[in-house]
Amino acid sequence: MSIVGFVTTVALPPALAFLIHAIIGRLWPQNKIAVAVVASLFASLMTVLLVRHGSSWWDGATMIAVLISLFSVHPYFNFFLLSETARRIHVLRCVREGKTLEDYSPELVLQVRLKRLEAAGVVTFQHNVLRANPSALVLLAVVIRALERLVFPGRFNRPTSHPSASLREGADECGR
Amino acid sequence: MLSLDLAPYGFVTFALWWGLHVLLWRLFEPRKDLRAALFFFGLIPLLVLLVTVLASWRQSYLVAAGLFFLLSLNYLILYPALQASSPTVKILCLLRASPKGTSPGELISQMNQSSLQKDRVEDLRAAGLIRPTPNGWALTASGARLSFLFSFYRRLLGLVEGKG
Repeated sequence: MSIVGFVTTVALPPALAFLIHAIIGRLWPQNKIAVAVVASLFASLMTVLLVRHGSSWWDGATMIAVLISLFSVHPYFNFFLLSETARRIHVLRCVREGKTLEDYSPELVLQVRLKRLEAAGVVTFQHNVLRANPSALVLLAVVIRALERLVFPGRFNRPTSHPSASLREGADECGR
Repeated sequence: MLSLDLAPYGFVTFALWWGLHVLLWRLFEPRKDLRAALFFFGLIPLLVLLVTVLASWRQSYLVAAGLFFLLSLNYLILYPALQASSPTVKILCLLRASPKGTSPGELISQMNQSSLQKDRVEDLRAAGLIRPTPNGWALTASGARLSFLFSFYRRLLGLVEGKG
C-alpha cells in the first residue's frame, strides 16, 4: 500500500459517506438510520475499490484496506447516531430553542427509543407486552453493557432498595 | 510502499492502551471523564500518528499507527454510550432478561429516571456547555457552538434535528 493509498483509505470514507448520505437521505428520509448504514458501507466499499491493486480480495493489502476503511467510516456513522439519538445533544437543542427541560421528560426519552426499536423490528409490542427479538442490536447491547460493567464497576455495586430490583439485576446480568 | 508487516502492532498497541484505560478508570474514575477519554483516545493517538507521519524513520510503523488511531477513535465515539448508560442498551438488556416480556409501564419503572435526563443535564453543566439562569438554563459559548455544529450537520443532510 502506498502512502497516498493509506491516507486515502483513512480520510476518504467519512467524506464520501457524508456525500452519499446527504444525497440518498433526501430520497428516503423516513429510513434515517438504515440510510446512514448503507451510505457508510457503500463509502467504505468505494474507497477499497479505488485503492486496491491486488488481483484477489484476500491478499493482505486489500484486507488491511477493508479494515482501515471500515474503522474510518464507523466514527462517521456514530456521529450521525449522536445527532439522531444523543440526549445531551437534544438537551442542548431544547435550551437553544428556549424550551423547558420538562418538555424532554424521562418518559419521553423512553417512548422515543421504544418507538425507534419497534420500527426497526428489534422490539415487538403486542397485547401491552414488550419483547426483544433476537438481533445483532441485542447482542451489541450486551457487549456495551459488559464494557460498561468493566469500565464503571461502581455503578453496578451500589445497593438498591427499588422493589423491582430483581429485574434490574437481570439487566445487569445481561452485561456479564 | 508501506510495509503491512507491522499492522498487527496497531491492534496490539490499542489492546494494551485500552487495558490501561480500564485499569485507570477502575482505580481513579476521572471526574471529567469525557475530557479524559478525549485526551486518552483522541489526542494521544493523534499525536502518535502525526509523529509517525513526520518522522521518516518511523514510516514503517505508519499502518500500525493509523490502525491504533482509528481503533482509538472508534472507541472514543462509543464512549458516551458507556459513560451515560445508554437507555437503548438498558431497554434491550431488561427485555432480554425478561423472556416473557414486560409492559411499558413496568419497563419505565425499572429505569433509573435520574440517569435518563437529570444526570445528562448535570453532565452538560459540568462540561461548561450550559449554565443556570433565573429562568432555567442557557447555552454557554461552547454549548452554542456544539449545538450549532449538530444543527448545521442535520441541515446539510436535509433532516430535521434528532429527537434525542
